[in-house]
Amino acid sequence: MENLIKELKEEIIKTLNLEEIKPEDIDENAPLFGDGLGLDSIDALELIVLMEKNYGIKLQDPNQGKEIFKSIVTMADYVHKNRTK
Amino acid sequence: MIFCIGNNIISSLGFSTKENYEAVLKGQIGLSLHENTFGIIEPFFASLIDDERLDKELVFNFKDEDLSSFTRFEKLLLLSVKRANDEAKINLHDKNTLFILSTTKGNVSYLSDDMDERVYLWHSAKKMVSFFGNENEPLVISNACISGAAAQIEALRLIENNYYDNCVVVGADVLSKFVVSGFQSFKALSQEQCKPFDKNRHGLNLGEAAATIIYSKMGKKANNISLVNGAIRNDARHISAPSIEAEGLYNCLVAITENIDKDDIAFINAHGTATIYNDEMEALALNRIALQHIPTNSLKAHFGHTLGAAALLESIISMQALTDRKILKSTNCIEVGAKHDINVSKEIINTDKNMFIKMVSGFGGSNAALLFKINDTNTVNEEVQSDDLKVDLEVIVKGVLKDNVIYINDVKYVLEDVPGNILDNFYRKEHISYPKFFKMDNLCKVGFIVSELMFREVSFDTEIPKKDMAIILCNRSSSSDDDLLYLRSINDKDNYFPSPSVFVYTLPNIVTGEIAIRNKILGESSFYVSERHSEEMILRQVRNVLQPKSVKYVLFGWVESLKGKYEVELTLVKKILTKI
Repeated sequence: MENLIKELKEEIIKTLNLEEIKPEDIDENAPLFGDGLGLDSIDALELIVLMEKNYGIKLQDPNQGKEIFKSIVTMADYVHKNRTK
Repeated sequence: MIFCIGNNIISSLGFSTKENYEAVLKGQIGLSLHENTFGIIEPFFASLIDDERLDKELVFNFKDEDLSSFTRFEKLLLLSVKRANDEAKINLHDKNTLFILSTTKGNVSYLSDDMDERVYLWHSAKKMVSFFGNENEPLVISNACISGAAAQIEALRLIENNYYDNCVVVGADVLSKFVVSGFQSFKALSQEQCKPFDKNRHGLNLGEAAATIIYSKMGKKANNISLVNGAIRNDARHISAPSIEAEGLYNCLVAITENIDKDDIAFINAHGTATIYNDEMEALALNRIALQHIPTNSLKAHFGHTLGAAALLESIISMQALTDRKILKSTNCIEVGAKHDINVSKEIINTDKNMFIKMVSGFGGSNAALLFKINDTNTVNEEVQSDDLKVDLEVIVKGVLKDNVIYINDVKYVLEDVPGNILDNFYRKEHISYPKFFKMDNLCKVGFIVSELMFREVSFDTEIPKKDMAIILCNRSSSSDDDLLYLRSINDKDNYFPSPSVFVYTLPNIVTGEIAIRNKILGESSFYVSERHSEEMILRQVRNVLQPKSVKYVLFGWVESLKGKYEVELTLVKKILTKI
């Protein structure tokens, strides 16, 4: 799980062009949306693409993302349980 | 005020305004389910124009003409203009007639790394005017989904200010893998027929259409419809999400209704895309200006969202309805679902009122509203009121980028040629602090950097909302730079992952939105596409935009980015009024 958390942090920084943030700056338990990383609705959609591209997880309803993308930990947990690749 | 003297709609529901209007009256729906269309596996609902019928109409209307060099998109433009002028009967090659094209993606399906000339929006416009023998440089507006309204506002200003007697305003967009996959990546498409304003709405459907309105200084008959007023305003909040305060649309409504008797508004034709947030935002805007009681409808359930044609098509259908003294129903709305009150029209009803409002909103934080009126007198045109004041422009600051050197007035900055993105490198070197910068495409980055240095030079406060400032930008290649990037995300069948954060930048007006958001610019924002940087054209637009008393500043100019080459020439001006 630790490796997956590290991988997710790196992928999120790369995919969402968070140029000024380093993996160690991201608290894996802190909310991804809101004040923390300053992510917005387009970032949420891009995370859906990331889930499919990297882990073969297809989220049809963007509302599912609200729970899954709460934090890096919730995201890692979902990936761990549902990944197909 | 300018008069509609001819119009046409080509859509899945027909090839004339009459055919389309009657289809709407009968409740016909042009949307259907498409599977494996455009090479897209995921099924989608859309309204597509029938090619067999299109071919027949082209043969019938252009018997002796060779149209082999025209694309499907361009043939639709030709046919729609021709049919509109069958009614208007103006001399299309007259020097007092200007063509205005409204489109978002034109011939984007021809896009490749070779940059086929056909993908340039100005190229399609030039082919069209050449076909009709018109020698004026056509105006091309690409302002996302408000393009069709912005083009009509352009016609209003150009005719009222005596630049032209007639404007042929034509809007069109065709669907393709590029467009559909982008909206799919945004999870914006409904898996069923869209349901504008319904509590169970799940998103929009896309549609193809071409629509033309020919506007003139003089009306041709009694009971014809005129465009009385129009406004464009930016939300300055987000490049794709509708404003949670409906600021831009509300400001548009304020601008177009300030001198009218609101009791004479028969209905409001909303954008009504059937996304949760758009329809909610429109309801809020109507509440803020206390028009929530006026019957409101959306035509999207008949045609889908026809992008660059939408505001033209929907204005035409609404004009027909008002001429017919009818308020159309908002199809597919069974139970209204909005936090704010809205009087969604559930049945076709009669009206004796004389005006309607068309609202539209789009990516880039753009919003527009138009006010139309039915005229009970014949060919009466009100002269534009002159208050004996002349508009002069005082240049506050200029920003130029050429050959990787930026000049802000006389201050020189160099974009160092380093590995990686030279714009990112410059941003870091100049210690600009705006984290969203790295999410932008290169067109936005280069526009952002130059405007940022300009505002910094004159110590403009980015935190103060600026309702009195407009942004007018122009370039040659539209958003082709980002279009190519997006194309790479959908071209490989085995690595097909359309990117929403790339797709959102495949509209050139997003650069105006990014600058507006950064600097809280709440005034008009517009983007034009032109073969060359024409100072004369853009200054004409600037003077037109500066006419209302409420507008004092305009940031305008050229912003180009294509394959690592950048060219920017921006000017910030202040309006100075002097007595004639």
